[in-house]
Amino acid sequence: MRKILIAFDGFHFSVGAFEFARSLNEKNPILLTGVFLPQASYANLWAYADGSGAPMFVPVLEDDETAKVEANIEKFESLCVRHHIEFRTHKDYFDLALPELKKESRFADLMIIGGEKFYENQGAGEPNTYLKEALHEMECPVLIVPEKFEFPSVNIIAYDGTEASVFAIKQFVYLLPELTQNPTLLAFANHEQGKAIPFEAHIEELAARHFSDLTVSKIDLDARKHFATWLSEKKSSIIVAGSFGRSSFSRMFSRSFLTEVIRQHLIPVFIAHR
Amino acid sequence: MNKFIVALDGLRYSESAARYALEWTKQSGAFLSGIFLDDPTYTSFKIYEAIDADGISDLTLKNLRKTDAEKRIESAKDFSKKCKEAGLQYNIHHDRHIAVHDLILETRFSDLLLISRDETFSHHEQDFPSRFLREIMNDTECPIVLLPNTYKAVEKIIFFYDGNFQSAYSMRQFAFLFPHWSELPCTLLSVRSMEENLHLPANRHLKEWMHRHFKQIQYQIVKGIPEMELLHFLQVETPNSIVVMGASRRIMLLKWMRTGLLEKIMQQFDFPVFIAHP
Repeated sequence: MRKILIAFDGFHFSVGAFEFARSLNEKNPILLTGVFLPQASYANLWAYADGSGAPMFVPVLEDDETAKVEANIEKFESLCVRHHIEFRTHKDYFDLALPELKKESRFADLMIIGGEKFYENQGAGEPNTYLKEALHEMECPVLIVPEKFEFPSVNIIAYDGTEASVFAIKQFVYLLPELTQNPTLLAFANHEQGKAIPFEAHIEELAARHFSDLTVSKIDLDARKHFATWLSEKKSSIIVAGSFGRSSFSRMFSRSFLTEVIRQHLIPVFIAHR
Repeated sequence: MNKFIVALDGLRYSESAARYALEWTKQSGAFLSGIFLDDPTYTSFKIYEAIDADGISDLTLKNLRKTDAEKRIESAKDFSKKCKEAGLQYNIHHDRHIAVHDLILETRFSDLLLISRDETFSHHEQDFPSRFLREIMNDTECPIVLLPNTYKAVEKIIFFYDGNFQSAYSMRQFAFLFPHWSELPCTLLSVRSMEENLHLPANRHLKEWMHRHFKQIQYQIVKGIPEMELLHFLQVETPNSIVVMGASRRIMLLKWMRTGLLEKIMQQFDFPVFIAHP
């Protein structure tokens, strides 16, 4: 049985994230741990100075806000009961948000975040600084879900031959085995003519063990520019991507297709990095 | 279906590693790749053996090489035969470049690496950990199990847990790879320093996760120096256990090697040791 975290900030409730967890539970029972974080926190202080236009000081919860959070927790609990999901609630809103979330993620198999709702009032731009920070720091794979989506029936794997991309594939199949029966496209996106798929025989040997309906293909387009557009035509799919360490992760975010995918709320994104 | 790989030296074929690979693959319904590292720079003979009165004799050298090649084919045949008998899905890779590089690339595309703790890929005798193994342990891209020289069925799981990310990560990967062992009795050992209290680090979070994946768990918390307490603890354990530990790349592994923890475990006990580093 998997332990899945679902993170809510304050009184925002991500229906998309909950829906995904519910669909998973229908296939294989899960333990869903709802983590309730402060509505807004001064967690920025741990990592970077304020330069993003986000408020510098955000007070801890005020009394009337606490009541709203309680209502949110109640909503979560009653939804879990209604859908027969085993659940726990962790009220971590007394401390800084990100360190708490990081600790929670150390002892969880997967974390689901509603990409649009997560600290949506913080900072301009999407994914906002909070979401990016959360993605950097988490110690388990993260699934970013848009509010409106169809439960995936196709897997799209962004493969580039690196350790990170293969790591993500492995974590994906361990964590979401119910999706491995779906048609899977292992895509190597490269606009350089004539560049072959790296380690093609190796990756095929591994991926074919895990995915029963696998297609390995090379897409001749510039991943940074056109991947998101290409993806937008592929509804009801999920994208699997990895990244290694912090620096390349930042790089990936600043100029990659994933940002676009998250920003345009296209499809769920599974990210694993170590 | 997971893909396990077992690294084998065709010249000094480890029966026990092959046996472990076969049994575990069968139990978990995985796919097995036998990785025969046929490194051309590694031979079973020393070059001096080819010297006669006129210097290096081409004929002798040719014969020695031929014997090696035959030995390698023989080992692969034996492995193949056993896999067939066990009814496994398997294949064999013959990697003919530098052994370390080949194996690290193979680990990227595998779920688990099984390797005998005595693997050296050299015709010199070397104590544990051999240079080869040291490099593999540092750079492997999937979890690794160091196997002892005799096969024993696993009846118990021992987790070393210190509250940090590495040990949690290692347990998680272990749970993914061996879900069929979730019913086995496990002991989670945590060693605390003298100044700390006797509580498990992140107690509530840990147990919430632990009980989803393992059914019979005993928590044991002791005070002292981790390396010493761990060895102490292992002394009273049943020999049919597997030890699960975490390590961060380089730092932790180097620390173990300096304190000699891994070496001592290897010298004193016959446990398979599972290591995953994030």
